[in-house]
Amino acid sequence: MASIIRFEHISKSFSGVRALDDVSFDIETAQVHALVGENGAGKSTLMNILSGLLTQDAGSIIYKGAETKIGTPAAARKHGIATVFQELKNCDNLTVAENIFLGREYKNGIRPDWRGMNEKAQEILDSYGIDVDVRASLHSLSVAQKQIIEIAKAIDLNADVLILDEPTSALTVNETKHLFENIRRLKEQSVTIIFISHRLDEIFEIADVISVLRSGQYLGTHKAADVSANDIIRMIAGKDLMTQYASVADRDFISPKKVLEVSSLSRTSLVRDVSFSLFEGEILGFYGLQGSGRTELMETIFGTQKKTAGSIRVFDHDIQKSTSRKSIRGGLSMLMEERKTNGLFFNMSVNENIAIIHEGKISWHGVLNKRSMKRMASAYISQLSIRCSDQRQPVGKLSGGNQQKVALSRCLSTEPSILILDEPTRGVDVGAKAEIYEILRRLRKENHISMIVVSSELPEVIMLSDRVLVMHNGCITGELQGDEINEKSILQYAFNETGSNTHEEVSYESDKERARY
Amino acid sequence: MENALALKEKKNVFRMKEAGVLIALAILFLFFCLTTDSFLTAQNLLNILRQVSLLGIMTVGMTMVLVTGEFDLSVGSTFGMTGMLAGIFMTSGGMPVWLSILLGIAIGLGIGLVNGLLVTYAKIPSFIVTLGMLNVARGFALVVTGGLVVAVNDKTARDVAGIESFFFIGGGKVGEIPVMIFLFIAVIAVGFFLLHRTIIGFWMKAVGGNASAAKAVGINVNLVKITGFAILGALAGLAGIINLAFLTNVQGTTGQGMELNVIAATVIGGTSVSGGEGTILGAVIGVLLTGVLNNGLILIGASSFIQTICIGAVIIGAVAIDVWTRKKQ
Repeated sequence: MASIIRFEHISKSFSGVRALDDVSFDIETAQVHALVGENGAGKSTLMNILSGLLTQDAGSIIYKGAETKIGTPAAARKHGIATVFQELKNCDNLTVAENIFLGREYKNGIRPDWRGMNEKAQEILDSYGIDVDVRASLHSLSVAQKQIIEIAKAIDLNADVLILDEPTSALTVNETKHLFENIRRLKEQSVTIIFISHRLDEIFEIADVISVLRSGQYLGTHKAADVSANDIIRMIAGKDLMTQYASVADRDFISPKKVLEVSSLSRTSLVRDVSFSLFEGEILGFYGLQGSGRTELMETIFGTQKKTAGSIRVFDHDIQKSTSRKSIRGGLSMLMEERKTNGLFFNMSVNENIAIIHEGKISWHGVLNKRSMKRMASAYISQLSIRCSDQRQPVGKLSGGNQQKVALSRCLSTEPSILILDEPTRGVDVGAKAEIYEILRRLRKENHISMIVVSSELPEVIMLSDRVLVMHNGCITGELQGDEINEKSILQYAFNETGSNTHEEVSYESDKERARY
Repeated sequence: MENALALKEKKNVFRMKEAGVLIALAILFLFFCLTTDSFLTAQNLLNILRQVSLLGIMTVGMTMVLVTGEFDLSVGSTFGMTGMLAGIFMTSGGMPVWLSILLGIAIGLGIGLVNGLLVTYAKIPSFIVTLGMLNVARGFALVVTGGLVVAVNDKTARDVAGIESFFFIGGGKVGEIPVMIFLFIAVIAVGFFLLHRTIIGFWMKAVGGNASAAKAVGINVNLVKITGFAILGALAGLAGIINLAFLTNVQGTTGQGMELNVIAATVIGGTSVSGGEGTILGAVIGVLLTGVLNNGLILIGASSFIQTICIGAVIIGAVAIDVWTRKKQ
């Protein structure tokens, strides 16, 4: 088979740090080529060079047989290279059709031809089975819908090469399935697809070949049929991590005492009549598709959002009007889902981020004591082995895994008895993931912390949880223990295959509510 | 170990955020030293300091408001209105000087509070709230005086004993140094302490950096923002009153357009308009830079029109340097 792209000795550095180091490999025509590696392995840098956002320091790209300098995104598009970025780049204030044709509008003389664009946009969306009104303004759509529209837009550019950077991170299982159908269709039309993902199951489902990068170096390309997930993980991490991923679940730690009791809790239509208990020493997993109300439930329990009905008991104390302050005093702590928007202060140092919650301990009559702030942070930095060059370094400059550990440190600094973790390993690379699992295991064993873990990654929920509660459409639809915990039964409850599927509608609503904050 | 640490600290001085403006200030300073004879004299330097004192007092407050991620356009009007009202209290109001001063500062604080409440609880963008307040306060000052001048002197003021010390605040000297400069330095010290050494300053940085995360850790975001506005309002009031003590008379238009100079100095000092970043040291350097520029341009005989152009160019240049250096990092 002919190769459409050949990378030859590509190197790129950022302020002295090598992001890509002499990378050479081929991408063949009409294949789905997966690119894997930890965060910071260089995948995005390489794709940014290919899509014209960056220019390599050394080396060249042979595109369709000729050495090609790409240089700008417009040039990349002209060459037939389209990219869907992980962080969506579209205009929320414009309509779906306007976004699809942004920069290449149909024109009637000097006037834009809205009708033509709307019709064409609807046609594109219909042909990909996307059920969205093209006249709807983009901010009324869910993240998943936006992602799919972005992909549809890239496809419509008649690209020869389509780069998809973590396209499924915000998609539900169904939407992912749909996306994959479209990818296969494009492949039949001889489009080459470069697929970046952290989810190995997806990679094995869709990719023909897999290339591995580690710390900026190319480690090899393998036919997906010839390697196992374990092989790939070993290559990505440079060590065998599967052994460390051994199940954290252990019922021996659980005592029959209830530390948290939620009864008939509701919050508008997002959380409906939810009741459950958390036992001392237990790790309780929560699974649900996007929009099922998991995060909304946790926010209500923790007190950052108001409940509309029901009761919450923490250690035999009824919590009437809960606020995050009160919850923390009561022994609760919560790791927020989106560390960038809800958790960390990227402008502030590691020390400050960890200590911020304790104004009493880090200040004396309102006067800050930086030394005690540092002392408090240092304890966690060594305990959770947070890697930073300087404790005064802004948190925004750390890697995703270390950022997450800083966020976790803050949660732990209140010495909670109950810890709610919402997506504890999102945007974290494989190595840091294993570390976080190990930390959770230790917290339960040594500090006897009871935990609720919310995750959209099935293997994570299965591996961590003693018991799993599955949510659908704001309600708890299933409870699984011990041997019952497996992918199939969890998904059955998550899709609520016995009941009616009103999931789409809910995800829509919850996104709207989220948009207000 | 101790040594290595010290080395690191030293290195950080040159890497400081303020380094860019500081270098610009040094270059300007040198330039005026070389091109004019009268620039580098104790008298002139003290002059510059005195001239920037009032601007500087407000810049300290503005830095805090910008750090919380908000904005205030009303300081010029607050400055004018408080000075005017304090003058009226002392003269036709017949109040003792100390009470007039306190009331004036309290009114400034009150305007800040109203700004803060409207921004936080009524959820109106600070740009709009303070643009409105700019007009309201200005109009109020004009209505109260009917467009006339309020003059404070030992004939108009009832509190004859107090008026002496009042004028000392504005025009007095300790040794060779104007009292106003001491007040400026005091405000810098208090501002530095508040923003960089207390929990409220720490929270200001947090709120400006990520308001929703601040909420999640239990910080009262609204209260922190209101505090910023109130401090700025009170400082604008203080500056307005010192201005009255210096000029001995004010009119309805006093301080018009001053908000822009305050914002300019703050931004030149490296404070981010998007919140979360900003230091008192930067504010002071920003203020000095505008002062040196204005003074030096007069000395080399440039017209006031040219000065305006230069200040404008410096604002853009300072922010451009800030953006570029940030990109490089």
